[in-house]
Amino acid sequence: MDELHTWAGVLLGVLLFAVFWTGSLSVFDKEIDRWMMPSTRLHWDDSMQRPSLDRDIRPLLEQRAANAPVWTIILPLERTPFLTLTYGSEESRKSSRDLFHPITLEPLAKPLTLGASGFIYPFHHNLTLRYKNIGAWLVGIAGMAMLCLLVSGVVIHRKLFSEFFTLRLHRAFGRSTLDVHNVAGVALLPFHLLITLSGLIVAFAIYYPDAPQHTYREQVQSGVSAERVFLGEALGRIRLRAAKQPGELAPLEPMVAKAEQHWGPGSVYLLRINNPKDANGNVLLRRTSHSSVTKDIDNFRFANVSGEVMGRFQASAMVNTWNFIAGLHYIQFRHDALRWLYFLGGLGGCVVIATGLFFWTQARRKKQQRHGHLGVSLLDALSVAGVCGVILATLAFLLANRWLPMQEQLFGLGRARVEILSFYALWLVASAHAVWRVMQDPRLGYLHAWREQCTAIALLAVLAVLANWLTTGDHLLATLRSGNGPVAGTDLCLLAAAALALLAAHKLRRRVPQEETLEVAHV
Amino acid sequence: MHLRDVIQPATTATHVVGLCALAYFASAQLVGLSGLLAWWAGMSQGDAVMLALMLGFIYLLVLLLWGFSRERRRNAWLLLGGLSLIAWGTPLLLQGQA
Repeated sequence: MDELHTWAGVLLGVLLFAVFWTGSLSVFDKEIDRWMMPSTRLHWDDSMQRPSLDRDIRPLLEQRAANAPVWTIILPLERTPFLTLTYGSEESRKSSRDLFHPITLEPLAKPLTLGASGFIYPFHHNLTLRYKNIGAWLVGIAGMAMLCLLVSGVVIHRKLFSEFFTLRLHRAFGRSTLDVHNVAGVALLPFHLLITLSGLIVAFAIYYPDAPQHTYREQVQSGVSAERVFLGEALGRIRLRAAKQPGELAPLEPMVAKAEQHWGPGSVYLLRINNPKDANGNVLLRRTSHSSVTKDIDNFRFANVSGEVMGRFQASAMVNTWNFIAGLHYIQFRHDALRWLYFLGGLGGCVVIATGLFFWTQARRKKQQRHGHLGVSLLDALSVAGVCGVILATLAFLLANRWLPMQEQLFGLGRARVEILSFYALWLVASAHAVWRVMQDPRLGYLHAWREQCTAIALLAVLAVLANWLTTGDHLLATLRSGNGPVAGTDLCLLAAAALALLAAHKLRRRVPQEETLEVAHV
Repeated sequence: MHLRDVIQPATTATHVVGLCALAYFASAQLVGLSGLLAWWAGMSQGDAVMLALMLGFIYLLVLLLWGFSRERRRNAWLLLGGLSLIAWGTPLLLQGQA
């Protein structure tokens, strides 16, 4: 168990850190979106009158995408206070998307960014490596390693409860690092078990694609895809073919009214109109999951032309167990305090992983000096690049968002793509810096690398806050005064990150002479 | 550098990767078997598969922890291999008889 804990942590720690870091940020993805998309800094609450679907929204769809095979309407919500219309095919991931003011329905300026929900969140679950789900598999392997780490951690830390009350921050550096690792690991153990296991369970279709094969054997033998039948039966995911005959879309408001008779007023948030101009088209209505932890996948389906109910999907108790687990992971419920606890819990996971890596390299250093292996030095560089590097990359992403000119194309690429390139470019630079520092001085280079990158984090975080102020006029005092929580919260978190990074850099600066003294004494 | 310095880490790496793959294969077969058994026990097909899928990750965790806590590598391979074979063969046998 000891070896399993060590090696799973050492080999997958860096990947786990990236997943936990982006996962923690994804807790507030919609809020970061508002920071990155100034045109969406609007206000919406449920007491406001939502626009009429037939009178106000349908003309927008007819005007912009009369012949699109799918229309999607996402009504304004508190965390997404704008109307979203998307047009495209069911198969295509790249349907076009337009945002509108929730009251005036004026088109909002194109954000020209993927934002946190379009880049940081996908990075969290698939590292943006979508080809054959390679990214999702890597994240899954890291997730399973995390579960092994948590269980093996409990087994190897036999004095679990006494360790929980042992935090000696003023003791030797290695000792205090291990104490932080143990305390954070024990205190957040239930949360980390829950969030990791739920993260794996929500992506079951990727990790166990053949699961329905035996149970749906009869359907498989008749040439039907077992997975398709299972997804339709359990999750209500069905596709109806177009009749290729023209048809006129019935009014949408009565459909919403009918669904809300069952679900409660204001509960419908999404309408998907499949084949809007076809006689066999249908309108799918989904409800929000704001008032419960359980992710709601129930839906109503109406016939396009008649407006009659075609079917109502209600998840079974077993599927709702899965929905509950998924809801625990996706955090779509409305509860700010709980959202902050999730965020802090995720950051706690980052602390456990980073201190674990740091402690391991510290502990192996003396051994390395005796044997002259390069392994620990390389792992030092990897730890710095994996921990500070990904934080720096995130800051580069935010800074690029604020600093790049608001043009659709930059350097021959889409602006959103240039932002993502900034993320990877700075990560690469941070990695190169870490390797250079460690190779330059195998004994103390790692401390210099950590310290310099912590200082860079502090600098970039403050610059991001300034950039937001200079490019939008929304400085911190103004957003606090106007109650613009998402923007003020993002700025405050950036400043808190800068302060913590400076504190870490200061402690590391003090550590260098101590290490040098120890080295001299050792020699 | 001795040949042993290369062979030993390569053997360990092969053991780790191989055992992880075997544990995953065993858990995938157990998912299939659990779904089938739950369906035969009276659940709807969708519920049976959903239950099996949720259990799959628990199976995998237990198998990995168990496999890597064996002192003798051979035992881990034999027992995980045997379990995989049983979990793979049982649904085929049961469905063949049904």
